[in-house]
Amino acid sequence: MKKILLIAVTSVALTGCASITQWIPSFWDDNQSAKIIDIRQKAHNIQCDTVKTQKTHADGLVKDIQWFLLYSDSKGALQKDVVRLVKPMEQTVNDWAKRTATGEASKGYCKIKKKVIIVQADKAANSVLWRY
Amino acid sequence: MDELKNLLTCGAPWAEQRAKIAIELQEMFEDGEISESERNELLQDLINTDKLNDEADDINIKSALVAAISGVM
Repeated sequence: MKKILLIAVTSVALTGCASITQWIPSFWDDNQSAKIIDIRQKAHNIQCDTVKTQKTHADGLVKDIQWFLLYSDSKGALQKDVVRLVKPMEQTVNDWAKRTATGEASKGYCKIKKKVIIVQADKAANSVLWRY
Repeated sequence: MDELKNLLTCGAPWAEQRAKIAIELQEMFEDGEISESERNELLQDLINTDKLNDEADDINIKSALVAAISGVM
């Protein structure tokens, strides 16, 4: 195991300080952990009955994802990995919110969107919560 | 569609899951349940999901490495 440590330290030293933030992962954070579960819970509770209902659910997710990204960004450079992790969700949910705002979101579209958002939220939550 | 159906039994759970969603949305498009722009957006969502998946794997590996290093210090 000491070899692993030596390799890790040497790798960082050789490639310079600029790469440290790319190599070191972000660590456990109570607020991020709570928020990602809020997002996951909202994803699992999405209802597609009407466009108005869809809009309520989409807007709620947009706000939670925005909170997560702003908080992580404010916390500093070491949070870039979780920002990159949640960014694809931001696009998925923002596209949905835009459609609900113009009334162009069908029920079938919402059903598939829900499945995609659940896959994304489950995976993101797993990574955020399993950090050291 | 045949290529997607082959992925349903490829043995990689994440790929099977994505293929299942892709087939379902293509069938819904053919049945007129979703529009072309909705289908295209949802396909883009599946591509974005792969990006998220890559980032998640990266974080998991780095976290495991940090935990392992901490164990020997």
